Amino acid sequence: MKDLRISFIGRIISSYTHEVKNYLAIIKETNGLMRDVIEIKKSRGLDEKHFLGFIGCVDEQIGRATAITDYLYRFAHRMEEDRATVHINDLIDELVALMSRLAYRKRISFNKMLRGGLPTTILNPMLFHYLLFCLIEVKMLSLQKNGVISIGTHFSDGFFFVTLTSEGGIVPSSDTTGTSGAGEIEGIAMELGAVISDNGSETVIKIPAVTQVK
Amino acid sequence: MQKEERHTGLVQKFIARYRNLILSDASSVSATPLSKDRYKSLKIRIFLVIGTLAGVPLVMITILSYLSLQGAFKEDFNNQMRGNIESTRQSVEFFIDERISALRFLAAANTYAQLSDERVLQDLFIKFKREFGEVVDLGVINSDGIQASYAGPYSLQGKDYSNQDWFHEVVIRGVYVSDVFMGYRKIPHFAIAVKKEVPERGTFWILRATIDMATLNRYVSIANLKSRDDAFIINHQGILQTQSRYHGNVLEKIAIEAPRPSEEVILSEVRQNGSTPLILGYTSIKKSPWILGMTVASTAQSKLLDLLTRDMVSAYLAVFLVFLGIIANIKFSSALVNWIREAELEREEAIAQSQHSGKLASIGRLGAGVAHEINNPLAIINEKAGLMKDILLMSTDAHINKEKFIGLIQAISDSVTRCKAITQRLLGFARRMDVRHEEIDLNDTIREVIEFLDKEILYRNISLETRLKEDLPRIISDKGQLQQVFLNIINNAIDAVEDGGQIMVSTELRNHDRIRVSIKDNGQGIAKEKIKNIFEPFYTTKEKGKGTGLGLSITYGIVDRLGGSIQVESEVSVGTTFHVELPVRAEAQ
Amino acid sequence: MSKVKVLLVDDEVEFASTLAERLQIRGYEAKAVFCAESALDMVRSEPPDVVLLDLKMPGMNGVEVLRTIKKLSPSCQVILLTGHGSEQSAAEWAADGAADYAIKPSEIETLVAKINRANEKRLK
Repeated sequence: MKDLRISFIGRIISSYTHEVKNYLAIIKETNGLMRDVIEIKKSRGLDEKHFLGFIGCVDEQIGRATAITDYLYRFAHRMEEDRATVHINDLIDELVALMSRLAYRKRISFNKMLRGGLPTTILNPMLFHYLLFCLIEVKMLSLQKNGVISIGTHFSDGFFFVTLTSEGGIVPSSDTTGTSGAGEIEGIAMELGAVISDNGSETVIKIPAVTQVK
Repeated sequence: MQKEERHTGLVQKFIARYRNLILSDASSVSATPLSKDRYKSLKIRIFLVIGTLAGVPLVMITILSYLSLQGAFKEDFNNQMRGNIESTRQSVEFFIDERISALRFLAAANTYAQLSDERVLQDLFIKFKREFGEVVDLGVINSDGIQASYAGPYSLQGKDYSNQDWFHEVVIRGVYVSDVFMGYRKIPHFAIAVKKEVPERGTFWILRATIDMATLNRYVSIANLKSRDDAFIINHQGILQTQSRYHGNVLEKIAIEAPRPSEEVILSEVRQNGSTPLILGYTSIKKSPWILGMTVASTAQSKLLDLLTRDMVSAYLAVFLVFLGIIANIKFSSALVNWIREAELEREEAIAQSQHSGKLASIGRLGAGVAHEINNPLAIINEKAGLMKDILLMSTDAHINKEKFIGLIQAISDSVTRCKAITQRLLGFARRMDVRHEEIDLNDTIREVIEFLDKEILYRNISLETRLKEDLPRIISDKGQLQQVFLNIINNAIDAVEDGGQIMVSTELRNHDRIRVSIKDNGQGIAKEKIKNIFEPFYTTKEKGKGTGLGLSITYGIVDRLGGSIQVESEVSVGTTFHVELPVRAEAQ
Repeated sequence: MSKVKVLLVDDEVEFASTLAERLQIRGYEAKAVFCAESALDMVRSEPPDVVLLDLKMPGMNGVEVLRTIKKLSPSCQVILLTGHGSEQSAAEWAADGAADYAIKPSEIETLVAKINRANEKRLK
């Protein structure tokens, strides 16, 4: 259902927004603290080291905010074409970066094992994002706190393989269909020309490499 | 003139209506949403078009071939009739001719003197009768018109015919055939007379015989007649010479319009009042004062129909083929419309797809735009903080300019605020996109809401009836918001009715893609002029302090965003009904 | 050695002025203007050595400003400031006459390095 795709984008954007807001909050606090220091400690001299520390913190947040905003930008651009030449690893990077806040809520972290030097392929980038999102969401729902989701990629015989594994305690009797549902996932996979196999612990997406637009 | 005009008018009207039927929805193929009814009517229309296109030429060909067949049939029939009349005429002519020849021979073979002898005449008469049958009498008449001798049942000896027409005629013509007359024993007869010239004496005498009509009657009556057909002989005055089945008795004037003398066989149609039209065929009988006539009641048409209906096999086959044709038409129309519907579905899909892509693209651009926007304040914060760092590290002043620092800090703060505003907008945007979609059973949702209001309902003795259609399709929408909607409306209904009042909640499927929830109460109702106001924010009819007046406006907003609609019907003191229609698939705005 | 003249063109006043100040601290003769017209006026009257030009300014298209500056003062080195870049756009900008590009927000050190590199190019 197309509406679910739009819903997914909404979730990603929400996640990003919350993340940036956090960074902004820190900047704000640090800023406020600097002001306090100057105003309160008027009589004494300015502790340079202290201040540099503050400023360093601010810098760090700026860096993070900029980085994630860059990911959002790339993510947003993916929606403009339904066929594009992409590096699958880049797509994974973007999605994982933008999902980090969602994962963080459960203290779940991502472990990327993306093989370098993979060829490019032509596919619908947004759809790939969406598929990956749904599969990761399933894993997230079944993991207990402090779990780890590993994502790996490799290429062989004209196919890309994206492997998802989760480590950590499994939530018993969890609703593992997510908001998208199994039918939705199959539908997306079909549109992408991908095959999904799941042996309980490992989910593998197999996508053929496409070099020419038909 | 008027009749013509009326006909043209009717024809035009029919054509116009027919054309409308076919063309009415042609333009809206792209506009209207898919619906089963539309396809049904399309099927019917195509069926009619094909039926007409195939049927009209078929019917025309059938009519034309029937007409031509009928023509051929008629001709054949006419030929047959002619043939019949001809052959009957020939028989009659031959009969008369034979007897005339016989009389001539008798007159030639015997002298006047011989035949004047009654014994000779009697003897001849008996022989003649034996050979030729039906001779009633034989007589000799002299040149003065006096019966000279006679053999037969009457006593005509010495009768004077000199003033009679027939005598004059035979004298002039040499031969005479009489009209039928009622003769001996009231049987119809006719007479033949021949003149024998006696050139040596310069005189003549006449030999006359009376013939029974029986044979001629037989000839006429066996003229291959069907039950309603008739054959007869009439004279030039229209008096029947033979017994006619339908048109009168012998020696009466014929009931129908008397045929005229004619050398050829003439066929004409005769209309009788109140009866079927007849085909009349007639011709003159040579050497006689007679006209042979034949009427046939069975017309060529009925003969043809008769023939066709008798051929049951063909009839059944024809009906069967027509039936097959209709089935084939139905199937074809169905298939065609299905093909069209598939094509339309595909097109709708494609449009939806491209619309979706368009939507995504614009979302993408929006997202990219926001990302861009955020960078500016971030860049500012970056520089400000950087400057602070620079000052701390590179400044050679002993005293740090505190005011400057405060200024920088303020600037950072402002930028952060700016970022926040942007992210807020982004969040709002994301929220709107993320309408929680789940599969909802509306009936269950309504039951839950009602359960929630159970206490109040019981307390106020309100009878709440539900008529929830079973097997409604599950609706994809936001459960929480839907609950809010129904809670609000049912609550209003509860407030509107008196204690002991009635509320009815029903659900039904409309058009296969919308579900209608109706909430009807028999409460105080809303005045007509006020109905349009009820969805306005802060509009309330409750006393001050009771209710914010926001309920219905929020409800309206929710339903609208979910792609549905609300309608209200109400009459003061009678009650109010709310209709909430929701699409089975909610649309994300 | 004379100071390198740097002109900052960006509609974000706070950003441009602060950055200009930081460059001043680092020994550059840095000025900030906040719209394309002022930038072109400056290029005409006191041509700078290096221009830091924000692409997304309201009004005039950033690339057009770039071209105009290059026309007015071909020796002027222009570094484009942008929120996001790509290899493809970098190539396009280079074709239009840009000496380099930097992503906002950038570390001051990065900017300084780019300014120096551009200046060297100019001197050649």
